[in-house]
Amino acid sequence: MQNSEMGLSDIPAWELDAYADGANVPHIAQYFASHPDSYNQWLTETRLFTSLKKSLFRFECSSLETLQHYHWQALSSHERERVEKHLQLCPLCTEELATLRRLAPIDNLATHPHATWIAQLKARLARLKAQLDDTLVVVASLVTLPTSELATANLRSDTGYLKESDDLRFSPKIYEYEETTVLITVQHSETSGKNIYGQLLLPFDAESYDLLLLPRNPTQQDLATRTDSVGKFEFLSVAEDDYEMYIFLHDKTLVISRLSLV
Amino acid sequence: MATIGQAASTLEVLTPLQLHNACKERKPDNSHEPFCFEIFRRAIVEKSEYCWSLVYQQYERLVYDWISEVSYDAYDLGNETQHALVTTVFATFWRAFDGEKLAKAVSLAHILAYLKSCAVTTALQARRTQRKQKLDIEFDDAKIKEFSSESRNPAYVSQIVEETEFAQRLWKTVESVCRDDRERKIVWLSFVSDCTPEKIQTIHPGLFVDSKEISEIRRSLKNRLLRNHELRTLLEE
Repeated sequence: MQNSEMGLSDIPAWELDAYADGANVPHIAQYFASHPDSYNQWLTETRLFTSLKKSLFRFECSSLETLQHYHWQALSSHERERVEKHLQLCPLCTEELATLRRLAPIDNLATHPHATWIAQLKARLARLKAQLDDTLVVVASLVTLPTSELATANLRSDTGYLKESDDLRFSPKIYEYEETTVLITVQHSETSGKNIYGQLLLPFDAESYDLLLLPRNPTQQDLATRTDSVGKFEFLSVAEDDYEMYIFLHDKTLVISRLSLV
Repeated sequence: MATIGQAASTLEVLTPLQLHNACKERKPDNSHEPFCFEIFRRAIVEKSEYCWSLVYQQYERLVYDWISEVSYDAYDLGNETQHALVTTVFATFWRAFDGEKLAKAVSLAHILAYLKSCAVTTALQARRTQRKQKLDIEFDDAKIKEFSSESRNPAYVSQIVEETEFAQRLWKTVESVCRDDRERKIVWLSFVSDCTPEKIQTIHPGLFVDSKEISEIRRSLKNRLLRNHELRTLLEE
């Protein structure tokens, strides 16, 4: 690039592409600064091809309505063939169809309404996390472990109180954030895994709040439940893993960042 | 738990408000579902406007959550407000989900799956529009058109048809300078799908050595296009 006789065609195409995309390519910037004619030529050509791109962008793409009909297998065979031929060429339509299939699957529609509820809670959580005001998602602090009698007195369980043989890793815990308190106790399930019993304590009514339990292991199942009329909740036969628990209150979402069932 | 079929005679005597109250109490055992299904049935088959408004009320929040699953970034979805997007979703659903489709629906989940697909396509459409507008900005075009649903007047639609016909002529000219299938793929993916050389390499990993080769081939193509008289004439139109 030191040779003053060097022209645009001598510069590697990929470097010019990178420069056009806004990458920091100092020697290109330096070349253009010292070769204004070459810069103007490059700029004119770039604008011409941007104009071409503007005119051609997705000119043959199926409408999203058509893609939706294709997804629901509601197109004629002729239309379906046309869409499938286009999908072989177009990564953008292919990506959109994949999004549709992922977010709005059409198999198992007669079952898993509970899965719909979980998906809804997860979408709500994802939206909250994406917002700038991250105080909407707050972490509850684990406070001093209470005595077994205090913590389990009000909690629904098979035994009501911890026995000496109970694993102290699962001794009852209290989590707090401002005026919100969550009591949690974990016990062995008679069937498989563990049972989580809890109670949400608020200054006001604690009924009908959604809870989401997300495992660290992505192959484990996400679980959801809701508080009853006195704020109590339970998750039964939960697989052994570390979990995050999200409690969706009106004005914030409370998270217990690590609930270990291992 | 009442099933959708068994409870039909009981449901028919309930008022829309009674149905709505029973529907909104979502239960883990899904016993609320027949009431929700009946609201949809009255809205779709009996064309009850009151029931349509109850459907909107019941599922507005859910629809917005679904839109957010496609993109959390409001910028990505363009100039449409949240309310406008949700309204578009319900309008699309109202047009598309008729009595015939309802007759095939075996559960509330089926109806909600269709509603969700309307939400996803509405969000994807907003994203398409936003991406097109970004190209306009790249070209430093001061006349950024608003592709809102309100602008679908006959003049606007005929403009779309003209633009499509022009694009088809343009594409034929561009394609004519391609020497082989590799060049045709590069030109299509670069100009029609707006892919970078790196993205093209990802889509066709076995076809090119690396993205640098794609850049060089693309430069050679561009030089041929610059010398093409027909193309320059079209672009000056």
